[in-house]
Amino acid sequence: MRLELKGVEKNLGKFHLGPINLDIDENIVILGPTGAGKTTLLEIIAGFIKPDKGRILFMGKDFTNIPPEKRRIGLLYQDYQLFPHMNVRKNISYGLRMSNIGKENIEKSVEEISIKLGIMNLLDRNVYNLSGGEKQRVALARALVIEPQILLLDEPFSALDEETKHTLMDEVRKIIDDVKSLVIYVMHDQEDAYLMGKNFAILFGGKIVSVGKRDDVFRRPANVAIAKFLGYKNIFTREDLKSIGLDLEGEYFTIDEKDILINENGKIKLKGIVEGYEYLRDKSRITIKVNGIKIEKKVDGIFSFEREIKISFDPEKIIPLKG
Amino acid sequence: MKNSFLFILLLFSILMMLFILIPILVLYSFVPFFDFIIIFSNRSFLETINVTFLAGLISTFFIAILGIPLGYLMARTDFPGKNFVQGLIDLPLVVPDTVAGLIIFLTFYSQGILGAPLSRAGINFVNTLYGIVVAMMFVGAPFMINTSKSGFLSVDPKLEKVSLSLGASKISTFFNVTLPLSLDSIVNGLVMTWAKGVSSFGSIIVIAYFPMVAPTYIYNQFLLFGTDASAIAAGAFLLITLIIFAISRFITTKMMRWLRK
Repeated sequence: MRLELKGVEKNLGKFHLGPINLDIDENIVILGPTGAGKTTLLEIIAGFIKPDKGRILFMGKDFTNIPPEKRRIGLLYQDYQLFPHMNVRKNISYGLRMSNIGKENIEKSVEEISIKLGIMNLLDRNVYNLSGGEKQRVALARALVIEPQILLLDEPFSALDEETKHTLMDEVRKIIDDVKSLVIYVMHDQEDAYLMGKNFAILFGGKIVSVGKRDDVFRRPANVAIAKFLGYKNIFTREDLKSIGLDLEGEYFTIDEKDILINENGKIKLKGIVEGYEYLRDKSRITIKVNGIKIEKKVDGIFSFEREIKISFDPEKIIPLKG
Repeated sequence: MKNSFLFILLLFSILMMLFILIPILVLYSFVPFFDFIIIFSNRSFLETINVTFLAGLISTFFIAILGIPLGYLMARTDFPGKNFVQGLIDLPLVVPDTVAGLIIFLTFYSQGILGAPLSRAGINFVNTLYGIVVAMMFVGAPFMINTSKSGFLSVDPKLEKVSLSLGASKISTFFNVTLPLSLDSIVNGLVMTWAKGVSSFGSIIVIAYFPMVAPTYIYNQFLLFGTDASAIAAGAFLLITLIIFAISRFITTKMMRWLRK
């Protein structure tokens, strides 16, 4: 399966999307903050919005002017959008009923997908009193039963509580690994996204700013804003680095928290004072003041305030950034 | 706190209901029981009722066919001049009934812009059922368009997008998703349009004093025989309308429940 976006652009008043050039031949996560244009891009791929410029090719065939109902693109929204006037069975069979494949085939397909997703017991329930997780599985079954060529998942986990989310992420990943469709996730939470995909495209301000394998994308933020979005806490200027004895070419720099060591194993060894504490769910994050600059680091243990601490890192782990 | 709020709600609601109920009871106090029974066998009264409700049904039917698509368009699309179109839709609500009647007359009488060609085709509007129907359509249209519009607005467009993504055409999506989910409002719109039609007077008499619709008949009774005679006709008309309203509400509630299943 291969989806190509070639110079796709869309003007929506003040917001301009594109030009987007993307060549997708493996499942991918399109990651971007709110307002980056994710929904617009998704709706262009699904066919609800026509791009002003550019072309969309699927398996080499021009898709640009094909209406959404002819694209065979499965769609899973954050809030599932189950048809409230139909029970679970009718929701799942909706797409099949639109193509004349006969009652028996419809029943067979609905049963197969329901067994696969473990929702056989829900088939005759109405959709009002399903739990969030059940709704998601029903919506997924409804999208998958038509054997879509592309499956679009729009913020699939944003509406769920933490516990349900982690269970469902595992489940969804297993199901998705099994389907033949090309799967495109659209997400804004970088931590959730990191767990879901191997390939990433970062959408920022209406433009794709980075594409590639997960670790490449997460390890090479192009500029300060993207670094912050991807969760980088330590952004330094050249002057900051000079104050700890490093003189590098460039304007801004960052380093992954993981690469800052609370020991002296790194080449650059520093002494600092614990100045701040932020309690996270399973860990905490300390702010260490070193020669006037502040360095943040996620830690497991307990560090008392004002305590002197030795840290180190390797200079090659420093990532240069544009402003 | 909760109880006192409920008490205030109840008090105001009762006052509101009394405000509607008292004048109706006053009307019935003018109606001698025997004459009231007799009027239901009065041929001219029954004919009047027949004409009123028939014209109400026909006009509601045509308004539904023309108005529901417009309601959908107003709910789902943006276009230049949309506010102007909305203003135009609402216009029959603010135009005095007699002015509406005059507008309808000037348009549909045998020399009117629409009346002339139609009269050549054999359809005349002055003092015919057709005239009553177009007058009812004019004053009833905003109710159908606006209620169906708000019904369509209450349907999340994402549901329609899901339907399209599952291979349903736009028409199929409209009939399988949008329409069933806004049926409540549409049925409400139908009832309101019909009610506006059958209660219209000023807009109808200008183009069609005859055949008499119930409001014209009641007015005519008043002119010829005074309050007592018109009160009898009014009381009977009110009773029939109330029964029809109650039945239609009952049927639609049952129907909606059945559809939800």
